[in-house]
Amino acid sequence: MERSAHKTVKGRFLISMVQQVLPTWRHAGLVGNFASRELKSRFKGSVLGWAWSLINPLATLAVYSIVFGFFLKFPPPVAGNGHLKNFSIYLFTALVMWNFFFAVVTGSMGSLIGAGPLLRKIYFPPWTPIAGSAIAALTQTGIETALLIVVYIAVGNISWTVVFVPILLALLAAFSLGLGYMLALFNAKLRDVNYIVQVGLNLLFYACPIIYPISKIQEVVHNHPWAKIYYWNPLTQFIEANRDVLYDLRAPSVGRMAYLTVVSVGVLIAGWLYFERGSRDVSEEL
Amino acid sequence: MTDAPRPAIEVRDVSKRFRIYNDRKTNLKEAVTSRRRRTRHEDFYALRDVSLDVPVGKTFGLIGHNGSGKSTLLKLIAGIHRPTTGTVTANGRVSAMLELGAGFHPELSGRDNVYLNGAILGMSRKQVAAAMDSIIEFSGLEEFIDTPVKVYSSGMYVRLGFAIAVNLDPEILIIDEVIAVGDEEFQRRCFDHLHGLRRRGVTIVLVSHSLGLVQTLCDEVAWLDRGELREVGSAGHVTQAYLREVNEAELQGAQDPGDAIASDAFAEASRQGSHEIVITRVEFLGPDGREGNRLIAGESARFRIHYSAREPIERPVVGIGIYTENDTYVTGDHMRMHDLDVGTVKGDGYVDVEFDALGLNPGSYLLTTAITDWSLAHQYDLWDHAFELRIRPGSAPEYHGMVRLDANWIAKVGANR
Repeated sequence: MERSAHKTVKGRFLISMVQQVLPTWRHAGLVGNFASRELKSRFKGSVLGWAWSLINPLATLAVYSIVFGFFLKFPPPVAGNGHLKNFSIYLFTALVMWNFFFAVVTGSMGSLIGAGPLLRKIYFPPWTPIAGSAIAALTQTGIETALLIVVYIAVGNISWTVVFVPILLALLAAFSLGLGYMLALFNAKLRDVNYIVQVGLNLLFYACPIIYPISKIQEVVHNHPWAKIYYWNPLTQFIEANRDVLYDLRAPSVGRMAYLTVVSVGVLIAGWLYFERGSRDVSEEL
Repeated sequence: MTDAPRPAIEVRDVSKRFRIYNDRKTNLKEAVTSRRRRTRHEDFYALRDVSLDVPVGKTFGLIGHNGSGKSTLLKLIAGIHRPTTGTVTANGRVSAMLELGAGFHPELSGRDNVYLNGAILGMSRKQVAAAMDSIIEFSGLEEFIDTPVKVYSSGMYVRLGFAIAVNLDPEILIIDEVIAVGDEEFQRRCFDHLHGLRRRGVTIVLVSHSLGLVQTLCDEVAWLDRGELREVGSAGHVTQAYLREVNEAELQGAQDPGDAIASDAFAEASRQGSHEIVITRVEFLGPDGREGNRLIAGESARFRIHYSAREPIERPVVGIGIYTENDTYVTGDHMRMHDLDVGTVKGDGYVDVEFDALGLNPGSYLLTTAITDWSLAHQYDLWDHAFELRIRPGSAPEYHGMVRLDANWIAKVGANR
């Protein structure tokens, strides 16, 4: 008796999981439409059009390179091929990950608010514009990553470890999207969230080893309890992992990959469940 | 159990509560500082215990005053809001037109927006592509379909929105007061298309304030009153009941002295004539013959024109003219046309103009009235466009145009039967 009851509960759980995931596929077309709407409208009316998707990150890269690499002389470590020592490339490897995270998180909040007028007029699942904007951000990151890999090939610093890049991006996408779902819903209820997140992201940018190598922090605050928080920050781990595979040409440690997988999948599921529960009446809040 | 087909839309014991926050907290400071008064809101029930079925393939109308919950019910049916209690079940793909072109992105072309809107309504790219030609043709935007919609005129915007909603093969179509858009020609096409959809068995739910439209288009009608269902049934029956109540409410309103129709506020500027005899007052008497009553289309009415003659006037002729608000001359009449010769008059008196069935459609008109001599050449007194004449809808169906003709229709069908 007990066993069969247990089985039905398990079966019901499985069914409810399937029921939750299946509509997701049914709405793939809608998500794609939101993504293409964002991409198509992004550079409309500009002369250079899509070129901006490269000019923009390169300009940021140039500014950081000049300020931190040239004026402040942050030393880049020696790369995996034994002779490359270039601050800009070192920086860009981290910046690609950061830009993606930033774009997904801010885009999530913006896209849900932006879909408000529509959600008040037609029914569609409110997560679709968020997922659409994440896919648009992924497209941008794909372009940046391709450029980065081309640069690495040009300077002769490439290895089989490049296969980790799509895996890392997929995990980062899950992590950012999970966080994005949560923040988008918070923001729909309380518009301050957007501004708080802007400040938080600003802080987080410097709290991650993006413009400086992680070793610099470890020198200064060795064994400080806060250093642990710094170190286990998922973004620190993502950035370090990307530098592992592209700059240092070594596979990330099993521990690091396991940690990133658990955190990313966990955050995505938590964000999704929270959003599904809380977004049912979101059309009244927008 | 009979196997009656499942209704297209089932609404069961639905209530919808909206929370009205006196000052809605949308920023953090307020949320923190006013934590203790967090639950400071008023509950407003837009709908209360509404149950109804919309049968498959029928056209269903929702009528009621502003704020009666019609649009809320539509939003619940469309799935935009959730009922607070009760259930709404739609058995079929719902295509909602609560605002035409709401989902358009201004920077994208018309074509891209069609794909986006189609996806929102649950269509695959292939299905949208299949409908694309008929959408473009229906909207009449062949030349502009690849330009960004931000340059569209408002009419083009709406036309494209309507074309999408009706051409994407809906099973249940929801329309909120949106058909009254576009030019005459487009409106006619919309109606033709709606009738076509009806014939194909599409279930249509619509909200409209035009009772004429509801009566011609709908099979069944639900009447909502302050969030509660008053009556549901055949279109003719329910709209009649609704009209009866509206008219009664109007009558009660008319008892206020400020709203009386027999207006003494003559527009002096429009007055002409030699004034040996003058019109002192005009009264409009409705079906029950009381003054200050409302005139109702298709029912009996009486215009009472009071005069006062300072000296004896021989064979005066009283006449009236009725104009629309935008100054179209609808009709005119006078005593001499009816050979009414009253001889010589002196002092005060009145003349009645009586109608068995007032042949004007509901609306506001302006009345001109005059007294002339028998030759009609000399005007004693003329009040030009001086009186407002308001005609309320009655139980008779509304005619097209302005005037009801007292017509009999005779048909000869099938000559060799």
